[in-house]
Amino acid sequence: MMNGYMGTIIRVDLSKGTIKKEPLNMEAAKDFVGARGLGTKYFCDEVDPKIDPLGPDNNLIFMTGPLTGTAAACSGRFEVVAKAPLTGTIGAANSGGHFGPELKYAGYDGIIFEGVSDHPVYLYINDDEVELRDASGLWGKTVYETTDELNRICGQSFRVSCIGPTGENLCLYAGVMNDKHRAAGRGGLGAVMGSKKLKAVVVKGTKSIYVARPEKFMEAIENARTTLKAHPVTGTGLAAYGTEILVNIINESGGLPLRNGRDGAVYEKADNISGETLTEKYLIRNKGCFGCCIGCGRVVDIPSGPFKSRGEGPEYEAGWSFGADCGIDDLEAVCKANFLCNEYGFDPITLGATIACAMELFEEGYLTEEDTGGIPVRFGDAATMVKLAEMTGKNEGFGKQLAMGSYRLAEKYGHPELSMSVKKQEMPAYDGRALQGIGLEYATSNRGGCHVRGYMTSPEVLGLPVKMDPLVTEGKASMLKTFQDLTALIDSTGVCLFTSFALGLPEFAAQYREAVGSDESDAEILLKGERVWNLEKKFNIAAGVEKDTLPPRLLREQLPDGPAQGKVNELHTMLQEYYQLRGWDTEGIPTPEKDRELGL
Amino acid sequence: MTVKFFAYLREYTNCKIVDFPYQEDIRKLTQALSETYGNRLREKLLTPDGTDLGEEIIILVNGRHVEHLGGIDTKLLPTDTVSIFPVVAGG
Amino acid sequence: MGKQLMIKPEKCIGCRTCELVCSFGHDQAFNPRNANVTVMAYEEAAINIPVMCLQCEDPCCLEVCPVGAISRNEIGAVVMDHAKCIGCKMCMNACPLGNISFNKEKKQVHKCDLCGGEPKCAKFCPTGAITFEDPDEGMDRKRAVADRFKDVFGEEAKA
Repeated sequence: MMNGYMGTIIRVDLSKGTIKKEPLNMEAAKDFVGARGLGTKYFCDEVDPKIDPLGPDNNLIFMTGPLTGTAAACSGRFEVVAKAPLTGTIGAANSGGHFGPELKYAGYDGIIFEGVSDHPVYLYINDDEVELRDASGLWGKTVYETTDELNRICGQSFRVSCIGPTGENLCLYAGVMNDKHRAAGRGGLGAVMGSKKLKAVVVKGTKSIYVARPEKFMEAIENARTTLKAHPVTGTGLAAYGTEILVNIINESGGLPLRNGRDGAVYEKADNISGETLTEKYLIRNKGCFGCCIGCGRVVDIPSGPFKSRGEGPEYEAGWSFGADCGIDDLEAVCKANFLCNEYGFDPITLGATIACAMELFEEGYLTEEDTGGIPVRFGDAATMVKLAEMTGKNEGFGKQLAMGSYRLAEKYGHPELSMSVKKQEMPAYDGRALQGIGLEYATSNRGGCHVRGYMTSPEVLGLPVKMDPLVTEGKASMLKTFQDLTALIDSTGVCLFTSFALGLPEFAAQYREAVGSDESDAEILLKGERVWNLEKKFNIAAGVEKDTLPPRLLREQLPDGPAQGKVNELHTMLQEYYQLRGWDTEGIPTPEKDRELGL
Repeated sequence: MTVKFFAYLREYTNCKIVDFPYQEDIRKLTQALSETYGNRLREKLLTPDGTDLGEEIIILVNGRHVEHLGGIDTKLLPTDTVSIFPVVAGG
Repeated sequence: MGKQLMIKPEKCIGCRTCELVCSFGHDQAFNPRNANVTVMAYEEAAINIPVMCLQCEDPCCLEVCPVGAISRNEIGAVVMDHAKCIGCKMCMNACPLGNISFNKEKKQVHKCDLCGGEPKCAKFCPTGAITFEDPDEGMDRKRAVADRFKDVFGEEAKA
């Protein structure tokens, strides 16, 4: 292929133990681009939306995009797609690292797993050689152990995507882990992999990726990379401090949810868990994913004390979930909990927020020491937080309950309203009362509470690409729609969303065009993003996912202090405008006209 | 008044937080801060001609971006807290 | 002395952009395994080291080539003449640094040719871990030491 694609998909039937190679559906690739879009298209064409996410009828898809593995800026991304067990929505989780590019070098755009194996297996891919191998000896091992062991067995140059014990134990927010520290993290796709008894995929490839117009492609790339390098965020800030740099600015803006959002969104000790502090005290080195020119990854060492450890991260979201959300300002404990998430293979946003929810349930008396196995679960207790993270990773004691996520936990103890989740997935580190647009984003996200489906924090706090007042609702629906469609496009091409802090649609469209050999306009290319968004939405409607709303706390409890004092999220004033802009009816269902326009 | 500095601005000011003499608006404050902390900070705070705020700076007054208040002419009170960031992002 | 490729592993983030642009520059295809530069990653030590031909003053590959296919060109790069090369791979064996590789698709040995004077690895390296410079002009490490003396004893510091 001379268009960014490799032209071949691997289809694995785990129930039968068979492997087939089939040509890539190029018609679908044209309409849905790749990675998130194309993976979702394959999924929706083949899977009944009503199926049990952890049953044999769920498919698990790994899909790269046409830019994955090329010199396009930050081209290390690929998508894992399945019906998500945490939310019951379409689950699409994006990961960096080196696995996605390596899959393309082996000659494949993606892998579709069907059925369930009767014993633990891993998929071995060495260029044309593809086989299922026994993984009984790997079952129970952590992400680090599994990766090291597979590199020992297969060779150091193989790239490993695997699950940890949480995926095996069907923790509802287990992730698919790549290169040890990179995660297709949200929604519980690691549990889908665990339910299939698929421990890992290892891949090594020696083939080449060709693009349609090499000279023009290189021009587009050079232009994008030069812009990224010159931009203060992608060229300087993210490399210097990582994503944790956000802690202080979100806190100063009054939007850092404190103690499960119970105590507002201003944390007086925020600087202790900030990117500045992480850099000053614990950072060893930056790390980039494949093809990266930003370098936000952190290699971090806690040299001594009860949380002595080394690993990667934390990202801002984990810094908040284990930090402010649990009322904790001990950065060493936050780092340790984050490393445990990588080691055991689960999502730190949902884990931290679930522990925070348990803390509120406990302090309110809804949850007692009888329920927790004698552990007092209180805000601010760093040692307990880390202990609970480890217990959840190991599926021990009260950790088994935490492994359900905050919604099911809070519901079990009679107070689902204390789960800070949308469609049962925990919202991340921005308070929807202080940032009106991010509230709308959470409510309408196709995979539940999530910040990377249309990152409204960017205009509302960071002033990128324009400065919008976080406290007002005007203009938010329109900006969010554009962000959601553009994000779906970026995720589908196979490059990192962080490039969008500096690049816009013209740069992404140019890279896409020259790679695949298209002459479509920027608008036509953005329409592919909208098509992906609507396809996801239609799957969710058919799956019977609950309506778009926010936890009652965000809609009714006024923020007690800070610049957004007195505010709640005014979702009702934004939601209908958003549906209208989307061409959906008042219930949020795409109209037949919209379906026709998008060819769905 | 309280002025807080973040990220690499702290390298220019050698402090995270300072009790700074009261200035009546953001224009006067950014000028005074430039005089106190030198050219590296000034280059971030203000455009080269000094008439407007630089493009790579975020200034919050009591948590509100000055863009949504009065820009460089935002009036200040002695009790105000001003937080100054370089343009940053993450997620 | 002219410019040469210099590496600063402490700046390398392991992104392998150098491998991508190198393979593309030579083959118009993205394939890290066909690149003339390779980033070696050491996870435990938290360091990545880009490795490539440093254009030896006394190149073993040139010496050992039985058909005279390897020569030094006008910009100081030790280059291969694929018209003469018979693919015996003696040069691969002779290079003490392992910096000559074999492209399975093209069935050719390959090594760094400094991209004709503007090495793409250095041009695209996002962090400055690979640079193309005159070692006498750069002197980064010497200058860093000297800068500290300047900071302590210079006129500015005294004032």
